[in-house]
Amino acid sequence: MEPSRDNPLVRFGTFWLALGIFLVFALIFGVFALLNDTPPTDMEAAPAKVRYETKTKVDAAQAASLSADAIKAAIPAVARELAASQPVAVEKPEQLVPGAQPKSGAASTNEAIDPAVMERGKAQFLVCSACHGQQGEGGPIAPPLSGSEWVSGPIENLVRIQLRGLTGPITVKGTEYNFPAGMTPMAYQTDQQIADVLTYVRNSFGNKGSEVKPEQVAPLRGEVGQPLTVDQLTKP
Amino acid sequence: MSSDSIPHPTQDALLRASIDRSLRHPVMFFMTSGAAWLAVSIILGIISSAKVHSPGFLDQCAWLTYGRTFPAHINALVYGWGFQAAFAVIIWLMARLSRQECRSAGIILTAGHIWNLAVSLGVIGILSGNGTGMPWMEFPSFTWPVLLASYFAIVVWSFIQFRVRPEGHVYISQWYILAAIVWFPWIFLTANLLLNCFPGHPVMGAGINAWYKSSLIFLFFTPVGLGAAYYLAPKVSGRPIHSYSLAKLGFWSLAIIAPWAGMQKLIGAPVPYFLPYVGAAATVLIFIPAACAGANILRTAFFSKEAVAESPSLRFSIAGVISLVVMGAAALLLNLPGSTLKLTQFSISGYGFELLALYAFFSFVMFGAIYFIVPRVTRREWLSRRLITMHFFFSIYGIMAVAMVALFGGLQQGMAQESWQLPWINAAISTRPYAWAATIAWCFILFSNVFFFIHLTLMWLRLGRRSSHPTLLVSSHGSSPHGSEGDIDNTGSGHAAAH
Repeated sequence: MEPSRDNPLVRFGTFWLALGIFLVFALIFGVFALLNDTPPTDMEAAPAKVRYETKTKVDAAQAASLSADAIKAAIPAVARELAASQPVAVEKPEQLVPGAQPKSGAASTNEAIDPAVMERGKAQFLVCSACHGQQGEGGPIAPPLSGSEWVSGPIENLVRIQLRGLTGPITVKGTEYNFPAGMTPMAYQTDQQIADVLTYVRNSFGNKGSEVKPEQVAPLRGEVGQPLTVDQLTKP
Repeated sequence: MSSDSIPHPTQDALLRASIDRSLRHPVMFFMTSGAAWLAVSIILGIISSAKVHSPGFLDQCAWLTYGRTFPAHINALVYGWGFQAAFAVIIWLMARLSRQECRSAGIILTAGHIWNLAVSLGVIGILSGNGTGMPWMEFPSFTWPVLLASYFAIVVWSFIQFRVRPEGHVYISQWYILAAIVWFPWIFLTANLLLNCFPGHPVMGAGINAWYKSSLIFLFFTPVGLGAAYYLAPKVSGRPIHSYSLAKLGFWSLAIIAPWAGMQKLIGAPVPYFLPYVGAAATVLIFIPAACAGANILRTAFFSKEAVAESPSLRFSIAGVISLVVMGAAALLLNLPGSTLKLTQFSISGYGFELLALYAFFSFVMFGAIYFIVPRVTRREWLSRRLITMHFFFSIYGIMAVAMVALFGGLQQGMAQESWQLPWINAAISTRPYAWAATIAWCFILFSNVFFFIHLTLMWLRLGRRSSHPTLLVSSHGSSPHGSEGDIDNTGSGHAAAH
């Protein structure tokens, strides 16, 4: 056997050569990792940055119009005023003061409702009953009308809903409803038809309300075509 | 110089005997502890397989849930049995082929104990719920540096032995073993650094893990198995290897094709298209090195049919090599991106394919190598040919059943999962009979390996037969080419013949 092939030096050298060969890829990785200056980006970081910028802008805009200190200073004053305020009797039905005894709608005016109006309204209601149910109980695509505070509430709400439809969430009798399809506008109906059906609904299914007159529908015709959501209505 | 390079036969025989003697303790330790881990892994495999069809089996114990026993089973199979059998074969084969005695048996034994400790802690870690969840890397992440360090301490001596080998032709097994020695740290370090140390894109992490799994099979276990098979076939049958060029082609095609395979597991995932397609293409092409090596070794061995029938080591190795060819065909058929890949992606076929590679091919070749090496290293013969025959047949039936059932059951499961209009439970129910068959087959394999472990332990305790005749699978009452039978140290003709 050739003596020079097998000697302690060759063995020692081969040991370290083997170690180097085993680790060569790890060393290359290490070099790349050390030379890599950019820290790893969190995938959430980019959209979060945009959100923070928006938040700063909104905060600045709000502080510019009404500073946080002004709000803080106003709160005790308003609170005192509210606590000291006395309930005042309702003069007009549209005016509602917390704590006052509401005059139960306009039905207390005790005007008798024309039976012909109720008959025409009942006929017209067949269209509504397709969604709202024959007893106004509501259904999978429409909220109930029976006992609804919206029905007994301000008449402009009902007229607006009838003329412009309604989309988005609405709370009826404590339950929030949000139907994807919403209510279609019924602006094709005449003022008289709308007045009749609204009078019928306001006085059926356990509801008691004042009559709706065509003169109350006409002023709101100009709004036809604009989509309507519940925040544009008066809270009943 | 030429007289030095071809030593006198008796001198060479004495050198081989002294090499064997120097390697006795490390080799026997690795083989026996590997066989013990194999038994543990099969028990865990039976529990996991039972839970696929009977989820209520042993469900009171949190440590035995499927999510823990299945990774424990696979990791014990790979790191407990697969690696230790590979270590035994690597250190013995490289020492013998390079004609170098082992001078570092103590270090190797210590490192082997540390490896076993790390694997034990890893398996306990998985069963206690601290597994990492990455297939084939489920050991808690503190174990991988320990495993790598002990790996280095075990195999670097074989590297050195190759370097200081005598002048002369380098045998194909040495290339395969050397390649396996170098490839494993590359694969292991790459996967562990990218997945455990450096942050990265998580979906790509799944791809790297799939690549690691495939590379471990094709770039470590396959070369070690082929190195052993290329040694045993000509040695036991007495014929030279059929074709040197085919052997070279097989080696280089494996080296070039195999590193690209693995990412096909991620087909359909949000990674660049070319990654899974390249992985599928490479896996499909694996049939080339498998066919080359298979054809070469089988032609060599079947030249002497009596050798295959009589010799336990050759029979096991040839069964393993036939399974390699089957594995190559399975790799081709199961990974076609247009048709079968989407069926096998989320089914038990992946498991069946891994078992085909790990058990049907690699473990059978390792069994063949063990049946060859142990008598030489302990200077005792195997005690009972019936135990060997039982080990062979139960293992063969078992693993063929498990592999075929998992492959075809997986295709069925994949087809059922693809019909998305039907509820998913249909797919699970259609897989159930296959899962039952797999459990029963694993029980057969456990049975066979318990006897293997007992047999091996008796040999380790040097309680084998003192005989100059090898234990063959057929009783040879007639005349034997080895002469009359006698004690190993005192044969009739007076030579201590190492065969």
